[in-house]
Amino acid sequence: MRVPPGVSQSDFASAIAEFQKAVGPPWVFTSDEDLDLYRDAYSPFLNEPEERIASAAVAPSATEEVQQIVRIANRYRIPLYAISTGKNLGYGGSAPAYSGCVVVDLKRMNRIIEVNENNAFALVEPGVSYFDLYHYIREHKLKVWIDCPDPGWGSVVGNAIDRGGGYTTANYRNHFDSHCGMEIVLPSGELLRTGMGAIPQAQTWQQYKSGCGPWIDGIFSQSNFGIVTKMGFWLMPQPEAYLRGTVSLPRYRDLGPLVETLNYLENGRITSGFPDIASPLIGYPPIGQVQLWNESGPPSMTDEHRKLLAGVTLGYSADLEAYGLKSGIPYWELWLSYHGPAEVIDAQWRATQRHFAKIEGAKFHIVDRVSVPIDPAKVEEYHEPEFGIPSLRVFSIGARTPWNPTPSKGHMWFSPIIPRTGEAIIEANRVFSAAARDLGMPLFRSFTLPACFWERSFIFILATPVTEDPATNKRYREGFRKLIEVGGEHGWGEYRTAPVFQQAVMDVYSFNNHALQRFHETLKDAIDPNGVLSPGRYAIWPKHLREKHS
Amino acid sequence: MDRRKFCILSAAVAAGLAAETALPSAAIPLYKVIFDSRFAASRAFAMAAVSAGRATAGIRGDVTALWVDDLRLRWARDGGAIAGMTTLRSLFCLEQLAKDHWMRVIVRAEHWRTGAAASAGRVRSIVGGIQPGLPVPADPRLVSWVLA
Repeated sequence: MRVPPGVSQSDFASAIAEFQKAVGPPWVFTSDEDLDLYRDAYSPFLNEPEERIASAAVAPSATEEVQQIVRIANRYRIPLYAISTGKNLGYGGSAPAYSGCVVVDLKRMNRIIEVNENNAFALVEPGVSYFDLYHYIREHKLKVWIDCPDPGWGSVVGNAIDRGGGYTTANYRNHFDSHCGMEIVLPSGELLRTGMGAIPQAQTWQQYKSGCGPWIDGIFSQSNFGIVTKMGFWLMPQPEAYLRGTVSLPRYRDLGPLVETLNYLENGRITSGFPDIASPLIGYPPIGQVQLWNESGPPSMTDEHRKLLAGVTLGYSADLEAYGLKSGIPYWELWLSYHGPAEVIDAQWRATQRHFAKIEGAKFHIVDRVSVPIDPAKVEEYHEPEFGIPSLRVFSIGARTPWNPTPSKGHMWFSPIIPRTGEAIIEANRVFSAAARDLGMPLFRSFTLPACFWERSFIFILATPVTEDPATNKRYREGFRKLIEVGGEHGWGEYRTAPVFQQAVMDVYSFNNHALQRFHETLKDAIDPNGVLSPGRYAIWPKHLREKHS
Repeated sequence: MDRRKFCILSAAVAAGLAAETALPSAAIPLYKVIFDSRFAASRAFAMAAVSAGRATAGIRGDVTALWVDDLRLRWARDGGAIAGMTTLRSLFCLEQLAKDHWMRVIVRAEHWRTGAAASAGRVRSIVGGIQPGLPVPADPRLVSWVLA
């Protein structure tokens, strides 16, 4: 039996026996075969000594059992690591941040407690996946949409707690921002409810976010200050109609005005669907079309076009631009979407065109104009998450195909936040492509465009492959750490990262002698003096492990 | 049979397979055989499974519909081992989803690797109905597997 570091065999055996009493013996896992299920499928340390491995796993079915587990952990000083459905692939998966933790697997806590159509909210437990919530809504014929990531197999709570995002409208895409109210088991085993939930018999727990006094919800995201056992979310009322259009711009220099105009329209809520920036001339698809490209192959390109692409710098050459102007291939293509009554979205699209028409050569095209719900037979023509429909089709990306004959074994997401300007896109390309070249990291083609999951900023998101070769994985891990530093030197920080990189990322947030990290540690010492909850998560170590690991 | 007991049984079967014990196909209560209709070898595998009395389900790479309309409901209720010949990506998706029910891949034959024949043979013995000695399809896109 594996034993957590610093815990005696006999104490661990006693703790396991007490866990079994709390949740039932079938739901405590100690065999190697069972614990293999909790390894990170995309681990960049797969089969290496540094791979993070659990010592046991416990699967409670109710909040009261979670409380018992936490109290037992405190008695025996057992480090725990809570997961919801464990699908955080690319950001650490189901493996603990600290090897030897007992994983608290919350997937049996899968109750959908309420979905309220009138006020458009849901209250769910952490084991509820996006698929579960979507099908509950459909089965009960409720006219609300979820917002889900891609793939949609993850936990609604887990994704929000790690501050993930989706693809519908701006006010629902940021999953943590769209939450309302939480229930948390604290490291002492005590139960806490936030916001209006702190009032017994609360009537507005999922309707008013901040309650009164300090609004503490944020400290339970990307942290180890508690185990979330319930979470409320605001849902989007099902729109009447959907319109998707493109704005095409012919010149490289149009990128700045494209972003400025998009910012105005998005911040003014003239458009609120997922903005998707592509470059047909560089051969860079919109995110929403990537899986379609991968299923049927990218659009064909002439030999002349391919040759011109080889000569660009930061995505530009005068010859390439001239070729695009001659051939009618735009440099930039912005995909925009609109949700709502038909008369409203038609007006929003007209306003969008009026603003972009100020850029010389702008062209417009309506890709789709449909009533909602869309015909189920036609769902596959779309990128389903943009309709709040969870899917697994994204896994065609990276599949072995004639145009991708050697797919990777997984990836680690490198995801710095950069400013919402055209200049920042070009600067990020300059800085990171040079660094990646020096480090031998296969991150870039000729130019990378950022993703617009969040309002007001861009994510410059790139996948670093995980391979079958440990030496290559080691080089990529070291390169990844170096890229984090390079980003920090330019004022760009990651928004989320896997446990193996969490210390490196948090080291970048160093203002005033790492005041933020010191504050986190102050909270940790107060809230979790025995250091039992998820040690090391986002570089927050309990006192007894701090010196060794910080 | 409840899910946890099913999983414990499957683990025992997996141990038997690892020990190269000959197991009759009835040793695993196989729910369905999954095939990818885009590949001739996978279609042939499914036809042989049907001859052996197995229920089959076809996909075209994407497992979403199989998961949503079938396995999600079945595994939440009773569990159910499945076997298949698909791409590695499809198996990867099913493997990750199966973990939610404490199920795992107990046999895997990646057809592009040398030495896949023995594992492929074990998959066939579980599915049944497939001629012994039939060569492993040398399609670098396919993997045959049992998940239980």
